[in-house]
Amino acid sequence: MYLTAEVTLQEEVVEGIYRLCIFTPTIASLAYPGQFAMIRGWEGYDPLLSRPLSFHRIDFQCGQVEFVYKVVGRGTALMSKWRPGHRVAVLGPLGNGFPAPVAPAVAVIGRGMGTVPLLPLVESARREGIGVFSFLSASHAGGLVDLDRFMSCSDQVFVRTDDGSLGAPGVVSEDLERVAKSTQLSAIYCCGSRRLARAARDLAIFLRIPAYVSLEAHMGCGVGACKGCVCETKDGYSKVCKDGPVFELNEVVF
Amino acid sequence: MACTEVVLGPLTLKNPVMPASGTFGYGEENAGAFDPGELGAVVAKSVRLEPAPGNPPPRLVETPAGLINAVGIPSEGVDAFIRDQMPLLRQTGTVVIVSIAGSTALQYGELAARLSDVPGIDALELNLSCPNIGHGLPFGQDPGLLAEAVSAARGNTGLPIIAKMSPNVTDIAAMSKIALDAGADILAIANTVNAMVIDIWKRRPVLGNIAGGLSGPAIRPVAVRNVWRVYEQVKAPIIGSGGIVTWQDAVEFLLAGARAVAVGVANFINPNAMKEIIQGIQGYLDSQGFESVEDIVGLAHTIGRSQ
Repeated sequence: MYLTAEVTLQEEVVEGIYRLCIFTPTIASLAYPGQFAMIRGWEGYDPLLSRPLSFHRIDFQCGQVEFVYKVVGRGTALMSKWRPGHRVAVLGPLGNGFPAPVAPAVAVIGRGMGTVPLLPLVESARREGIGVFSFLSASHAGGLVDLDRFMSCSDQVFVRTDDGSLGAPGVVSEDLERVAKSTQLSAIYCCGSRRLARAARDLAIFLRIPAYVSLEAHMGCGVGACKGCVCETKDGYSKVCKDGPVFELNEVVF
Repeated sequence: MACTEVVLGPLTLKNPVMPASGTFGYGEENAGAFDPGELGAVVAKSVRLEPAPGNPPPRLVETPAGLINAVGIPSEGVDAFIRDQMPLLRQTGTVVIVSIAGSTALQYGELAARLSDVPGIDALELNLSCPNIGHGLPFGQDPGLLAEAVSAARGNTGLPIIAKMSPNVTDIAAMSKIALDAGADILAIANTVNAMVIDIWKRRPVLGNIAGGLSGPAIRPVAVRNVWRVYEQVKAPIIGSGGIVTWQDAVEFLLAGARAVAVGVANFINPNAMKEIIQGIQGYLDSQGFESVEDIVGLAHTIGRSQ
């Protein structure tokens, strides 16, 4: 769907990281975790391209979708100036999201901004009564957005930070390995770190369970036409926007 | 209502708007905003003789009001294209233009031969100007290779041939004449402009292919000037392209001498762009009292001279 919609909330969560809510009942009713939307809301053609953002929360009852993004360039800097009432163009939902979680329990493992697309998955698993184990890492405590929401929807949350500002020293991939030994997991979902992705892949192969990764890329069109956002997979180049952004972890060449 | 039909030599379009090759899906990549059958023509992504993966990522980098791409023409190869893509293209119900890209001049001939008898193709566009494949100059930048490539295609097909020219030349009109003499019927003016971006922190080029082709509003005035010059120097129908985002941009190209326009990167940022451009051209003609698109083709030249 390509439509214009209204910004309902913009707030700086921690320095440089923002929460953006958009009222769009159509997209909120169609979207599922792991998908994304192409968004633009500035006059003229500079920046030229729309910006791809993963859904951080999909609230079909309120007709609202929520994004969390980091200001990294001109596009996101302009985005952070949008205020409630601002009209934006939204193309979405796009891409293949995460396959639906299956009982008894799933693990999500993510780092930094890579935890953003995992939250709606965690929330939907909780709604379905499926167990969730969350393994989250970041350079510092501020890099973990909405940790409280992960806490309230997970059976257990493991947190590690590089600077030790939150959680004990260590790496979440080892936490995941330990939990996997004592808990029956149906799948692992990953985002935000190649190192974590490799660890999750190896563990999933050992456990013989499926594992999925959500990839990020600079995108041109978001719908597969421009072939600009490819990643390397076992079958050659795949389009992150159209074939992904969620791939079977084992298919991706890291 | 003004007539939007345009005649480009052997090719008649119901309106002058088409996508630039590789920027708009006629099948599953279409964002579903409108029916591709409403377009003057659909243009497929350039097809190659053999399957090719395209360039390593990153393939895109954004620049001020522009986009540099170094996609490198990934292709499923002509056999798979005919089998998988042609049924979708035929279903669109409008003029179908198939873009071809050879690695050698002779391959343009082979591709033309393979596609000539395939039902549902109305014209071939020769991509002579992709800056992103091979190691030497693109065909469109070497007069000898350009003539060879167009001749090779002409010798093997009766379909109308569109020569998509490179803007990265000293004199695009002279190169256009070479393409016409070798058998092209229509000129597409022009492809992307050679460009690159360097990451100053990594101290290396951003694109996997080092350099690429710049498109978008950043190149529009360059493209308008190229259309203007070719219109003055060469007697052949022109499809204008380069940074067309709005109907006003399209009208500018028509006034410069294009009989049709190809819309590229605008499709990425507004899936309705081409439909809005078709409607906008119609509105401009009606409000300005013109009876057809043909009335404004090259009109800026005559007015310029009379004053």
